[in-house]
Amino acid sequence: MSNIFNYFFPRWKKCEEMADEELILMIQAGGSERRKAINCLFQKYFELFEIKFKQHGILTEDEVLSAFSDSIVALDRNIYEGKYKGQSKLKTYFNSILEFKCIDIVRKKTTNSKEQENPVEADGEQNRDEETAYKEISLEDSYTAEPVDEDPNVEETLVEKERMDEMERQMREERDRINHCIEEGLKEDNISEKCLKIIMDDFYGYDRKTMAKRHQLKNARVASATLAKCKKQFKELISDCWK
Amino acid sequence: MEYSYNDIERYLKNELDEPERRAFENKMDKNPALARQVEEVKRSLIAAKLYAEKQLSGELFQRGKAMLEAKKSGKAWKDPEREKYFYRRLIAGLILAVILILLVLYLSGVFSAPEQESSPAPEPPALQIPSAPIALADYFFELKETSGLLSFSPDDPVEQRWNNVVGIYQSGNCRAVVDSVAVLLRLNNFDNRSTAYLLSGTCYLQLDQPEQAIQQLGQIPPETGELYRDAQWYTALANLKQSNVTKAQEILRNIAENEEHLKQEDAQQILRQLSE
Repeated sequence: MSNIFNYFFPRWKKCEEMADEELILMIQAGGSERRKAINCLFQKYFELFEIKFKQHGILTEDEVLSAFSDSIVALDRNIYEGKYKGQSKLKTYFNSILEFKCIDIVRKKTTNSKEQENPVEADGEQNRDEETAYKEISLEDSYTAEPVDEDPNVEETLVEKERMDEMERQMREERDRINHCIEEGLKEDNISEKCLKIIMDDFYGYDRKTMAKRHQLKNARVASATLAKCKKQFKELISDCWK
Repeated sequence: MEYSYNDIERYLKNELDEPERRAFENKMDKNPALARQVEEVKRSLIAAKLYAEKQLSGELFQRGKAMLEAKKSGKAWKDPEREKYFYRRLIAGLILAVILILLVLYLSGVFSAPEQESSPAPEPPALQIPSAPIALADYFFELKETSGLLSFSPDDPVEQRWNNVVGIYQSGNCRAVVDSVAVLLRLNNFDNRSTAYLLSGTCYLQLDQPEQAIQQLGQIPPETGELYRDAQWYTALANLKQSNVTKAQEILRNIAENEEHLKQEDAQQILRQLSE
Protein backbone atom coordinates (compact mmCIF):
# COMPACT_ATOMS: atom_id res chain seq x y z
CA MET A 1 0.00 0.00 0.00
CA SER A 2 2.76 2.42 0.97
CA ASN A 3 4.57 1.53 -2.27
CA ILE A 4 1.50 2.56 -4.26
CA PHE A 5 1.24 5.77 -2.25
CA ASN A 6 4.92 6.56 -2.77
CA TYR A 7 4.54 5.85 -6.47
CA PHE A 8 1.83 8.51 -6.85
CA PHE A 9 2.94 10.89 -4.14
CA PRO A 10 6.70 10.67 -3.90
CA ARG A 11 8.43 12.71 -1.26
CA TRP A 12 9.83 15.49 -3.33
CA LYS A 13 11.57 18.49 -1.95
CA LYS A 14 12.88 21.29 -4.08
CA CYS A 15 16.57 20.72 -4.77
CA GLU A 16 17.39 24.15 -3.37
CA GLU A 17 15.80 23.12 -0.08
CA MET A 18 17.92 19.99 0.26
CA ALA A 19 20.88 20.13 2.59
CA ASP A 20 24.25 18.72 1.52
CA GLU A 21 24.01 16.05 4.19
CA GLU A 22 20.68 14.91 2.82
CA LEU A 23 22.01 14.67 -0.73
CA ILE A 24 25.07 12.77 0.47
CA LEU A 25 22.88 10.24 2.25
CA MET A 26 20.72 9.84 -0.85
CA ILE A 27 23.77 9.13 -3.01
CA GLN A 28 25.11 6.65 -0.49
CA ALA A 29 21.71 4.92 -0.42
CA GLY A 30 22.06 4.17 -4.14
CA GLY A 31 19.34 3.38 -6.66
CA SER A 32 16.67 5.92 -7.49
CA GLU A 33 17.60 8.07 -4.50
CA ARG A 34 21.10 8.40 -5.89
CA ARG A 35 19.73 9.30 -9.30
CA LYS A 36 17.53 12.00 -7.79
CA ALA A 37 20.40 13.40 -5.75
CA ILE A 38 22.62 13.62 -8.84
CA ASN A 39 19.98 15.63 -10.66
CA CYS A 40 19.57 17.82 -7.62
CA LEU A 41 23.27 18.50 -7.33
CA PHE A 42 23.31 19.40 -10.99
CA GLN A 43 20.49 21.87 -10.48
CA LYS A 44 21.70 23.22 -7.17
CA TYR A 45 25.21 24.02 -8.37
CA PHE A 46 24.26 25.12 -11.85
CA GLU A 47 25.14 28.70 -10.97
CA LEU A 48 28.77 27.57 -10.87
CA PHE A 49 28.49 26.66 -14.53
CA GLU A 50 27.67 30.27 -15.33
CA ILE A 51 30.54 31.54 -13.19
CA LYS A 52 33.04 29.21 -14.86
CA PHE A 53 31.76 30.10 -18.28
CA LYS A 54 32.46 33.76 -17.56
CA GLN A 55 35.84 33.00 -15.94
CA HIS A 56 37.16 30.86 -18.78
CA GLY A 57 36.37 33.01 -21.76
CA ILE A 58 38.35 30.69 -24.02
CA LEU A 59 35.87 27.86 -23.45
CA THR A 60 32.61 27.43 -25.29
CA GLU A 61 29.31 26.92 -23.50
CA ASP A 62 29.30 23.24 -24.48
CA GLU A 63 32.83 22.73 -23.20
CA VAL A 64 32.02 24.24 -19.81
CA LEU A 65 28.78 22.31 -19.67
CA SER A 66 30.66 19.11 -20.47
CA ALA A 67 33.16 19.88 -17.70
CA PHE A 68 30.26 20.65 -15.37
CA SER A 69 28.53 17.34 -16.14
CA ASP A 70 31.77 15.38 -15.72
CA SER A 71 32.36 17.13 -12.41
CA ILE A 72 28.93 16.15 -11.10
CA VAL A 73 29.71 12.54 -12.09
CA ALA A 74 33.04 12.75 -10.26
CA LEU A 75 31.41 14.31 -7.19
CA ASP A 76 28.81 11.55 -7.13
CA ARG A 77 31.47 8.88 -7.47
CA ASN A 78 33.61 10.30 -4.67
CA ILE A 79 30.61 10.50 -2.35
CA TYR A 80 29.36 7.00 -3.26
CA GLU A 81 32.80 5.46 -2.81
CA GLY A 82 33.38 7.33 0.45
CA LYS A 83 36.28 9.42 -0.84
CA TYR A 84 34.56 12.61 0.19
CA LYS A 85 35.00 12.85 3.96
CA GLY A 86 33.00 15.99 4.54
CA GLN A 87 35.99 18.04 5.70
CA SER A 88 35.30 20.80 3.23
CA LYS A 89 31.92 22.09 2.13
CA LEU A 90 30.40 20.07 -0.66
CA LYS A 91 30.09 23.13 -2.87
CA THR A 92 33.73 24.10 -2.30
CA TYR A 93 34.77 20.55 -3.05
CA PHE A 94 32.68 20.49 -6.20
CA ASN A 95 34.01 23.89 -7.26
CA SER A 96 37.58 22.62 -7.11
CA ILE A 97 36.70 19.57 -9.23
CA LEU A 98 34.98 21.78 -11.76
CA GLU A 99 37.91 24.16 -11.83
CA PHE A 100 40.28 21.24 -12.55
CA LYS A 101 38.09 20.07 -15.37
CA CYS A 102 37.86 23.53 -16.91
CA ILE A 103 41.60 24.15 -16.68
CA ASP A 104 42.21 20.73 -18.20
CA ILE A 105 40.13 21.66 -21.22
CA VAL A 106 41.86 25.05 -21.43
CA ARG A 107 45.21 23.28 -21.34
CA LYS A 108 44.24 20.86 -24.07
CA LYS A 109 42.96 23.69 -26.22
CA THR A 110 45.99 25.89 -25.75
CA THR A 111 48.38 22.95 -26.24
CA ASN A 112 46.68 22.08 -29.47
CA SER A 113 46.86 25.66 -30.73
CA LYS A 114 50.49 26.01 -29.60
CA GLU A 115 51.38 22.78 -31.34
CA GLN A 116 49.89 24.23 -34.47
CA GLU A 117 51.65 27.60 -34.03
CA ASN A 118 55.03 26.50 -32.58
CA PRO A 119 55.58 22.76 -32.30
CA VAL A 120 59.03 23.13 -30.58
CA GLU A 121 57.74 25.26 -27.70
CA ALA A 122 54.79 23.04 -27.29
CA ASP A 123 57.12 20.11 -26.83
CA GLY A 124 58.62 21.48 -23.64
CA GLU A 125 59.63 25.08 -23.63
CA GLN A 126 56.62 26.58 -22.05
CA ASN A 127 57.07 29.31 -19.49
CA ARG A 128 57.30 28.34 -15.86
CA ASP A 129 53.81 29.45 -14.75
CA GLU A 130 52.05 27.61 -17.46
CA GLU A 131 54.15 24.52 -16.83
CA THR A 132 53.17 24.49 -13.18
CA ALA A 133 49.56 24.91 -14.03
CA TYR A 134 49.69 22.11 -16.58
CA LYS A 135 51.47 19.87 -14.12
CA GLU A 136 48.68 20.47 -11.66
CA ILE A 137 46.11 19.80 -14.29
CA SER A 138 47.83 16.74 -15.65
CA LEU A 139 47.56 15.21 -12.22
CA GLU A 140 43.83 15.55 -12.43
CA ASP A 141 43.00 12.38 -14.08
CA SER A 142 39.60 12.31 -15.71
CA TYR A 143 38.82 9.09 -13.91
CA THR A 144 40.35 9.14 -10.47
CA ALA A 145 42.25 12.21 -9.57
CA GLU A 146 39.68 14.67 -8.34
CA PRO A 147 40.84 16.50 -5.26
CA VAL A 148 40.31 14.79 -1.96
CA ASP A 149 38.98 16.75 0.95
CA GLU A 150 41.06 15.19 3.68
CA ASP A 151 42.97 18.42 3.79
CA PRO A 152 40.75 21.46 3.46
CA ASN A 153 43.55 23.26 1.73
CA VAL A 154 43.03 22.31 -1.87
CA GLU A 155 46.39 23.79 -2.91
CA GLU A 156 48.29 21.36 -0.68
CA THR A 157 46.27 18.50 -2.03
CA LEU A 158 47.32 19.44 -5.52
CA VAL A 159 51.01 19.48 -4.61
CA GLU A 160 50.64 16.04 -3.13
CA LYS A 161 49.04 14.86 -6.30
CA GLU A 162 52.03 16.05 -8.31
CA ARG A 163 53.86 12.97 -7.04
CA MET A 164 51.78 10.74 -9.15
CA ASP A 165 54.21 8.52 -11.02
CA GLU A 166 54.56 7.10 -14.45
CA MET A 167 52.52 4.07 -13.52
CA GLU A 168 49.42 6.20 -13.05
CA ARG A 169 49.93 7.80 -16.43
CA GLN A 170 50.04 4.31 -17.87
CA MET A 171 46.80 3.54 -16.13
CA ARG A 172 45.25 6.58 -17.76
CA GLU A 173 46.40 5.40 -21.12
CA GLU A 174 44.89 2.05 -20.37
CA ARG A 175 41.61 3.71 -19.58
CA ASP A 176 41.68 5.60 -22.83
CA ARG A 177 42.10 2.27 -24.51
CA ILE A 178 39.20 0.82 -22.55
CA ASN A 179 37.08 3.76 -23.64
CA HIS A 180 38.05 3.07 -27.20
CA CYS A 181 37.08 -0.60 -26.77
CA ILE A 182 33.70 0.35 -25.32
CA GLU A 183 33.00 2.54 -28.33
CA GLU A 184 34.10 -0.17 -30.73
CA GLY A 185 32.19 -2.90 -28.93
CA LEU A 186 28.98 -0.88 -28.84
CA LYS A 187 29.31 -0.06 -32.51
CA GLU A 188 29.29 -3.76 -33.32
CA ASP A 189 26.18 -4.41 -31.23
CA ASN A 190 27.92 -7.11 -29.20
CA ILE A 191 25.73 -6.41 -26.22
CA SER A 192 21.99 -5.86 -25.96
CA GLU A 193 20.37 -2.56 -25.02
CA LYS A 194 18.72 -4.27 -22.06
CA CYS A 195 22.09 -5.48 -20.76
CA LEU A 196 23.50 -1.99 -20.95
CA LYS A 197 20.53 -0.67 -18.97
CA ILE A 198 21.02 -3.38 -16.35
CA ILE A 199 24.70 -2.47 -16.10
CA MET A 200 23.64 1.15 -15.60
CA ASP A 201 21.32 0.09 -12.79
CA ASP A 202 24.14 -1.84 -11.17
CA PHE A 203 26.25 1.28 -11.37
CA TYR A 204 23.56 3.35 -9.62
CA GLY A 205 23.33 0.68 -6.94
CA TYR A 206 19.76 -0.46 -7.44
CA ASP A 207 19.03 -3.51 -5.34
CA ARG A 208 18.23 -6.70 -7.23
CA LYS A 209 14.54 -6.65 -6.35
CA THR A 210 14.08 -3.15 -7.78
CA MET A 211 16.22 -4.12 -10.75
CA ALA A 212 13.87 -7.05 -11.42
CA LYS A 213 10.87 -4.73 -11.32
CA ARG A 214 12.47 -2.14 -13.58
CA HIS A 215 13.35 -4.71 -16.23
CA GLN A 216 10.31 -6.99 -15.94
CA LEU A 217 12.37 -9.88 -14.58
CA LYS A 218 10.75 -12.57 -12.50
CA ASN A 219 12.50 -11.91 -9.21
CA ALA A 220 15.68 -10.70 -7.53
CA ARG A 221 17.45 -13.99 -8.21
CA VAL A 222 16.73 -13.77 -11.93
CA ALA A 223 17.93 -10.17 -11.84
CA SER A 224 21.23 -11.28 -10.26
CA ALA A 225 21.70 -13.99 -12.88
CA THR A 226 20.87 -11.59 -15.70
CA LEU A 227 23.29 -9.01 -14.35
CA ALA A 228 26.07 -11.60 -14.14
CA LYS A 229 25.36 -12.64 -17.73
CA CYS A 230 25.45 -9.04 -18.87
CA LYS A 231 28.71 -8.39 -17.09
CA LYS A 232 30.26 -11.41 -18.78
CA GLN A 233 29.06 -10.15 -22.14
CA PHE A 234 30.59 -6.80 -21.37
CA LYS A 235 33.86 -8.50 -20.40
CA GLU A 236 33.90 -10.41 -23.70
CA LEU A 237 33.27 -7.19 -25.56
CA ILE A 238 36.29 -5.51 -23.93
CA SER A 239 38.54 -8.59 -24.09
CA ASP A 240 37.88 -9.10 -27.81
CA CYS A 241 38.91 -5.53 -28.53
CA TRP A 242 41.92 -5.69 -26.20
CA LYS A 243 43.62 -8.59 -28.00
CA MET B 1 39.43 -25.06 -7.39
CA GLU B 2 37.94 -23.22 -10.35
CA TYR B 3 37.04 -19.58 -9.97
CA SER B 4 34.00 -18.09 -11.59
CA TYR B 5 33.47 -14.53 -12.84
CA ASN B 6 31.66 -13.75 -9.58
CA ASP B 7 34.56 -15.07 -7.46
CA ILE B 8 37.02 -12.93 -9.38
CA GLU B 9 34.74 -9.92 -9.04
CA ARG B 10 34.45 -10.52 -5.30
CA TYR B 11 38.23 -10.71 -5.07
CA LEU B 12 38.64 -7.47 -6.97
CA LYS B 13 36.03 -5.74 -4.82
CA ASN B 14 37.74 -6.98 -1.64
CA GLU B 15 34.71 -9.01 -0.68
CA LEU B 16 36.62 -12.24 0.08
CA ASP B 17 37.58 -12.99 3.65
CA GLU B 18 41.25 -13.28 4.52
CA PRO B 19 41.77 -17.08 4.00
CA GLU B 20 39.78 -16.98 0.78
CA ARG B 21 41.77 -14.03 -0.50
CA ARG B 22 45.09 -15.73 0.36
CA ALA B 23 44.02 -18.94 -1.36
CA PHE B 24 42.92 -16.97 -4.39
CA GLU B 25 46.20 -15.10 -4.64
CA ASN B 26 48.23 -18.32 -4.25
CA LYS B 27 46.25 -19.85 -7.07
CA MET B 28 46.74 -16.74 -9.18
CA ASP B 29 50.54 -16.87 -8.62
CA LYS B 30 50.66 -20.42 -9.86
CA ASN B 31 48.13 -20.05 -12.62
CA PRO B 32 48.89 -17.41 -15.27
CA ALA B 33 45.55 -18.13 -16.98
CA LEU B 34 43.70 -17.14 -13.81
CA ALA B 35 45.87 -14.05 -13.49
CA ARG B 36 44.95 -13.14 -17.05
CA GLN B 37 41.30 -13.76 -16.28
CA VAL B 38 41.54 -11.48 -13.26
CA GLU B 39 43.02 -8.78 -15.45
CA GLU B 40 40.19 -9.16 -17.92
CA VAL B 41 37.52 -8.97 -15.26
CA LYS B 42 39.23 -5.97 -13.70
CA ARG B 43 39.32 -4.27 -17.06
CA SER B 44 35.69 -5.06 -17.76
CA LEU B 45 34.65 -3.69 -14.36
CA ILE B 46 36.52 -0.48 -15.06
CA ALA B 47 34.99 -0.44 -18.52
CA ALA B 48 31.46 -0.90 -17.15
CA LYS B 49 31.99 1.93 -14.72
CA LEU B 50 33.48 4.18 -17.39
CA TYR B 51 30.59 3.37 -19.68
CA ALA B 52 28.01 4.16 -16.98
CA GLU B 53 29.70 7.40 -16.03
CA LYS B 54 29.94 8.44 -19.63
CA GLN B 55 26.24 7.75 -20.08
CA LEU B 56 25.42 9.68 -16.94
CA SER B 57 27.58 12.57 -18.00
CA GLY B 58 25.84 12.60 -21.38
CA GLU B 59 22.43 12.67 -19.74
CA LEU B 60 23.47 15.50 -17.47
CA PHE B 61 24.88 17.40 -20.43
CA GLN B 62 21.50 17.15 -22.17
CA ARG B 63 19.78 18.26 -19.00
CA GLY B 64 22.07 21.28 -18.83
CA LYS B 65 21.37 22.10 -22.47
CA ALA B 66 17.63 21.99 -21.81
CA MET B 67 18.07 24.25 -18.77
CA LEU B 68 20.10 26.74 -20.77
CA GLU B 69 17.66 26.74 -23.66
CA ALA B 70 14.76 27.34 -21.29
CA LYS B 71 16.67 30.18 -19.69
CA LYS B 72 17.49 31.75 -23.04
CA SER B 73 13.88 31.57 -24.19
CA GLY B 74 12.76 33.10 -20.89
CA LYS B 75 10.76 30.04 -19.86
CA ALA B 76 10.96 28.30 -16.53
CA TRP B 77 12.77 25.01 -16.83
CA LYS B 78 10.69 22.02 -15.84
CA ASP B 79 12.33 18.92 -14.51
CA PRO B 80 11.09 16.04 -16.73
CA GLU B 81 11.24 13.73 -13.71
CA ARG B 82 8.95 16.03 -11.78
CA GLU B 83 6.70 16.40 -14.81
CA LYS B 84 6.31 12.62 -14.79
CA TYR B 85 5.26 12.77 -11.14
CA PHE B 86 2.84 15.59 -11.94
CA TYR B 87 0.92 13.28 -14.27
CA ARG B 88 1.06 10.48 -11.74
CA ARG B 89 -0.42 12.81 -9.14
CA LEU B 90 -3.02 13.97 -11.59
CA ILE B 91 -4.04 10.36 -12.28
CA ALA B 92 -4.05 9.57 -8.57
CA GLY B 93 -6.16 12.66 -7.93
CA LEU B 94 -8.67 11.61 -10.55
CA ILE B 95 -8.84 8.08 -9.16
CA LEU B 96 -9.41 9.44 -5.65
CA ALA B 97 -12.08 11.82 -6.93
CA VAL B 98 -13.90 8.96 -8.66
CA ILE B 99 -13.67 6.82 -5.51
CA LEU B 100 -15.01 9.71 -3.45
CA ILE B 101 -17.92 10.29 -5.81
CA LEU B 102 -18.74 6.57 -5.83
CA LEU B 103 -18.58 6.55 -2.04
CA VAL B 104 -20.91 9.51 -1.77
CA LEU B 105 -23.32 7.91 -4.25
CA TYR B 106 -23.11 4.63 -2.37
CA LEU B 107 -23.84 6.31 0.94
CA SER B 108 -26.73 8.21 -0.54
CA GLY B 109 -28.24 4.87 -1.53
CA VAL B 110 -28.07 5.24 -5.30
CA PHE B 111 -26.59 1.76 -5.67
CA SER B 112 -28.82 -0.01 -3.18
CA ALA B 113 -31.25 -2.42 -4.77
CA PRO B 114 -34.78 -1.08 -5.06
CA GLU B 115 -36.65 -2.04 -1.96
CA GLN B 116 -38.58 -5.19 -2.49
CA GLU B 117 -42.26 -4.57 -2.26
CA SER B 118 -43.14 -6.45 0.85
CA SER B 119 -45.83 -8.87 -0.02
CA PRO B 120 -48.27 -8.65 2.81
CA ALA B 121 -51.36 -10.70 2.91
CA PRO B 122 -53.60 -9.40 0.17
CA GLU B 123 -55.77 -6.75 1.62
CA PRO B 124 -59.40 -6.78 0.72
CA PRO B 125 -59.97 -4.20 -1.94
CA ALA B 126 -60.84 -0.96 -0.24
CA LEU B 127 -64.41 0.03 -0.78
CA GLN B 128 -64.50 3.02 -2.96
CA ILE B 129 -66.78 5.62 -1.52
CA PRO B 130 -69.03 6.72 -4.35
CA SER B 131 -69.69 10.33 -5.10
CA ALA B 132 -73.06 10.05 -6.84
CA PRO B 133 -75.94 10.91 -4.42
CA ILE B 134 -77.97 7.72 -4.89
CA ALA B 135 -74.91 5.54 -4.64
CA LEU B 136 -73.82 7.45 -1.54
CA ALA B 137 -77.21 6.77 0.05
CA ASP B 138 -76.96 3.07 -0.74
CA TYR B 139 -73.37 2.99 0.56
CA PHE B 140 -74.20 4.52 3.93
CA PHE B 141 -77.62 2.97 4.43
CA GLU B 142 -78.19 0.24 6.95
CA LEU B 143 -81.25 -0.66 8.96
CA LYS B 144 -81.57 0.63 12.47
CA GLU B 145 -80.06 -1.38 15.27
CA THR B 146 -83.15 -2.68 17.15
CA SER B 147 -81.68 -3.81 20.45
CA GLY B 148 -83.58 -2.02 23.20
CA LEU B 149 -86.68 -1.52 21.12
CA LEU B 150 -88.53 -4.53 22.43
CA SER B 151 -91.35 -4.00 24.89
CA PHE B 152 -91.29 -5.61 28.32
CA SER B 153 -95.05 -5.94 28.79
CA PRO B 154 -95.77 -9.39 27.39
CA ASP B 155 -99.37 -9.40 28.64
CA ASP B 156 -100.40 -6.37 26.55
CA PRO B 157 -101.62 -7.56 23.10
CA VAL B 158 -100.53 -4.28 21.43
CA GLU B 159 -97.10 -4.58 22.94
CA GLN B 160 -96.97 -8.17 21.72
CA ARG B 161 -97.76 -7.06 18.21
CA TRP B 162 -95.05 -4.40 18.48
CA ASN B 163 -92.52 -6.97 19.55
CA ASN B 164 -93.54 -9.02 16.51
CA VAL B 165 -92.92 -6.01 14.24
CA VAL B 166 -89.47 -5.49 15.76
CA GLY B 167 -88.74 -9.18 15.18
CA ILE B 168 -89.81 -8.88 11.58
CA TYR B 169 -87.65 -5.74 11.20
CA GLN B 170 -84.67 -7.69 12.57
CA SER B 171 -85.28 -10.38 9.97
CA GLY B 172 -85.15 -7.72 7.23
CA ASN B 173 -88.71 -8.25 5.93
CA CYS B 174 -89.36 -4.59 5.30
CA ARG B 175 -92.61 -5.06 3.34
CA ALA B 176 -94.19 -6.80 6.33
CA VAL B 177 -92.81 -4.13 8.66
CA VAL B 178 -94.43 -1.21 6.80
CA ASP B 179 -97.77 -3.01 6.66
CA SER B 180 -97.67 -3.99 10.32
CA VAL B 181 -96.59 -0.51 11.40
CA ALA B 182 -99.49 1.01 9.43
CA VAL B 183 -101.93 -1.24 11.37
CA LEU B 184 -100.33 -0.46 14.70
CA LEU B 185 -100.42 3.26 14.07
CA ARG B 186 -104.13 3.09 13.64
CA LEU B 187 -104.54 1.80 17.15
CA ASN B 188 -105.17 4.49 19.70
CA ASN B 189 -103.42 2.66 22.51
CA PHE B 190 -100.15 2.20 20.66
CA ASP B 191 -97.41 4.12 22.46
CA ASN B 192 -94.24 3.50 20.40
CA ARG B 193 -95.36 5.70 17.55
CA SER B 194 -92.09 7.55 16.91
CA THR B 195 -90.10 4.32 16.92
CA ALA B 196 -92.66 2.76 14.59
CA TYR B 197 -92.34 5.68 12.17
CA LEU B 198 -88.54 5.23 12.25
CA LEU B 199 -88.77 1.55 11.45
CA SER B 200 -91.35 2.17 8.76
CA GLY B 201 -89.32 5.06 7.27
CA THR B 202 -86.09 3.07 7.15
CA CYS B 203 -87.97 0.17 5.60
CA TYR B 204 -89.38 2.38 2.88
CA LEU B 205 -85.84 3.48 2.23
CA GLN B 206 -84.82 -0.14 2.03
CA LEU B 207 -87.73 -0.76 -0.37
CA ASP B 208 -86.41 2.11 -2.50
CA GLN B 209 -89.36 4.34 -1.74
CA PRO B 210 -87.69 7.51 -0.48
CA GLU B 211 -90.74 9.70 -0.75
CA GLN B 212 -92.71 7.50 1.68
CA ALA B 213 -89.62 7.23 3.84
CA ILE B 214 -89.41 11.03 4.14
CA GLN B 215 -93.07 11.20 4.95
CA GLN B 216 -92.81 8.57 7.73
CA LEU B 217 -89.61 9.99 9.19
CA GLY B 218 -91.11 13.48 9.19
CA GLN B 219 -93.62 12.34 11.82
CA ILE B 220 -90.95 12.03 14.44
CA PRO B 221 -90.84 15.15 16.66
CA PRO B 222 -87.55 16.76 17.78
CA GLU B 223 -88.34 16.10 21.41
CA THR B 224 -87.66 12.42 20.90
CA GLY B 225 -83.91 13.14 20.96
CA GLU B 226 -82.10 10.07 19.74
CA LEU B 227 -84.99 8.98 17.53
CA TYR B 228 -85.22 12.42 15.97
CA ARG B 229 -81.46 12.39 15.24
CA ASP B 230 -81.85 8.97 13.59
CA ALA B 231 -84.79 10.31 11.57
CA GLN B 232 -82.63 13.26 10.41
CA TRP B 233 -79.94 10.86 9.18
CA TYR B 234 -82.33 8.62 7.26
CA THR B 235 -84.21 11.65 5.87
CA ALA B 236 -80.90 12.93 4.47
CA LEU B 237 -80.28 9.56 2.85
CA ALA B 238 -83.84 9.53 1.44
CA ASN B 239 -83.22 12.95 -0.11
CA LEU B 240 -80.02 11.66 -1.65
CA LYS B 241 -81.99 8.75 -3.04
CA GLN B 242 -84.24 11.29 -4.66
CA SER B 243 -81.19 13.18 -5.88
CA ASN B 244 -82.35 16.11 -3.82
CA VAL B 245 -78.79 17.07 -2.99
CA THR B 246 -79.44 20.58 -1.66
CA LYS B 247 -81.94 19.36 0.91
CA ALA B 248 -79.71 16.42 1.81
CA GLN B 249 -76.69 18.71 2.25
CA GLU B 250 -78.72 21.03 4.49
CA ILE B 251 -79.65 18.16 6.81
CA LEU B 252 -76.17 16.64 6.67
CA ARG B 253 -74.58 19.96 7.66
CA ASN B 254 -76.77 20.01 10.77
CA ILE B 255 -75.67 16.47 11.59
CA ALA B 256 -72.00 17.25 10.81
CA GLU B 257 -72.03 20.17 13.24
CA ASN B 258 -73.70 18.20 16.00
CA GLU B 259 -71.13 16.57 18.20
CA GLU B 260 -73.78 14.47 19.89
CA HIS B 261 -74.94 12.92 16.65
CA LEU B 262 -73.69 9.37 16.19
CA LYS B 263 -73.55 9.86 12.42
CA GLN B 264 -71.47 13.10 12.60
CA GLU B 265 -68.40 11.59 10.88
CA ASP B 266 -70.46 9.84 8.22
CA ALA B 267 -72.30 13.09 7.47
CA GLN B 268 -68.97 14.94 7.12
CA GLN B 269 -67.70 12.28 4.74
CA ILE B 270 -70.79 12.42 2.56
CA LEU B 271 -70.49 16.20 2.40
CA ARG B 272 -66.84 15.88 1.28
CA GLN B 273 -67.81 13.33 -1.36
CA LEU B 274 -70.58 15.56 -2.63
CA SER B 275 -68.26 18.56 -2.86
CA GLU B 276 -65.84 16.54 -5.04
